[in-house]
Amino acid sequence: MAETAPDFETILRRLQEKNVEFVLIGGLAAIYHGHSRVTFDIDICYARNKNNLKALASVLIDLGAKLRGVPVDLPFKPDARTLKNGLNFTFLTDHGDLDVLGEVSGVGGYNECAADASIDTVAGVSVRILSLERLISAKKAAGRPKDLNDLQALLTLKEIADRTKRP
Amino acid sequence: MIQLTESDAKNILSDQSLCRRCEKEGIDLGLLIENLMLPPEMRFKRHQNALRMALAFKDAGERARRSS
Repeated sequence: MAETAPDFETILRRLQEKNVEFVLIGGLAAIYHGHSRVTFDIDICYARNKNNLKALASVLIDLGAKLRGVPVDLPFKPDARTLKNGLNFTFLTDHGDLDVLGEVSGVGGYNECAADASIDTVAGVSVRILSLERLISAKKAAGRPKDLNDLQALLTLKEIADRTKRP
Repeated sequence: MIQLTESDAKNILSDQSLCRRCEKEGIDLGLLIENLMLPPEMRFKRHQNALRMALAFKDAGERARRSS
């Protein structure tokens, strides 16, 4: 069966509709900053306060989220309690893969990610997006071969951004 | 987030040292510049199109392998 492209717009819209506090990180944030890579999933860092865990859990249930890379019969309910007891999760949803991180290596939690995030419109949805500087820190900390490939491009983008900074 | 003007793009692409460094590191500077000249919304649309194409090619490749 042909694989369909993930529907990032629907995922972002559902998160926004339920007022989930999150920052867009990973590949889509890199694309926002000008990187020319293709990403198959959407990564977010979420706030771990009680209300946000409830809101995020509600979206995950709505999106039909299941843990990725585990046996399909493994019982799992993405409720606020489960989110509180864990930290970083990788989900398969009805609209594509969604990774939700309570903490980003090299950066920190939601507050650190949100501190200097841009607020912009992505796929028609207003979202916070991790800054280029913090994205570089995250890639350095992750250190996987694919992150190191991205890192070179992100450092070039930072160099261009610094050169063309306007007051 | 930056968005480059044509004049910015020309200046950057005329920097031979940067061009050589990118070539050595396998970075497609021209593609980065092209992206940086687009507004963010268009960068995502471009990505979504590339993603659809990538999946279509992946699917076609899989079909060809199955039939051979």
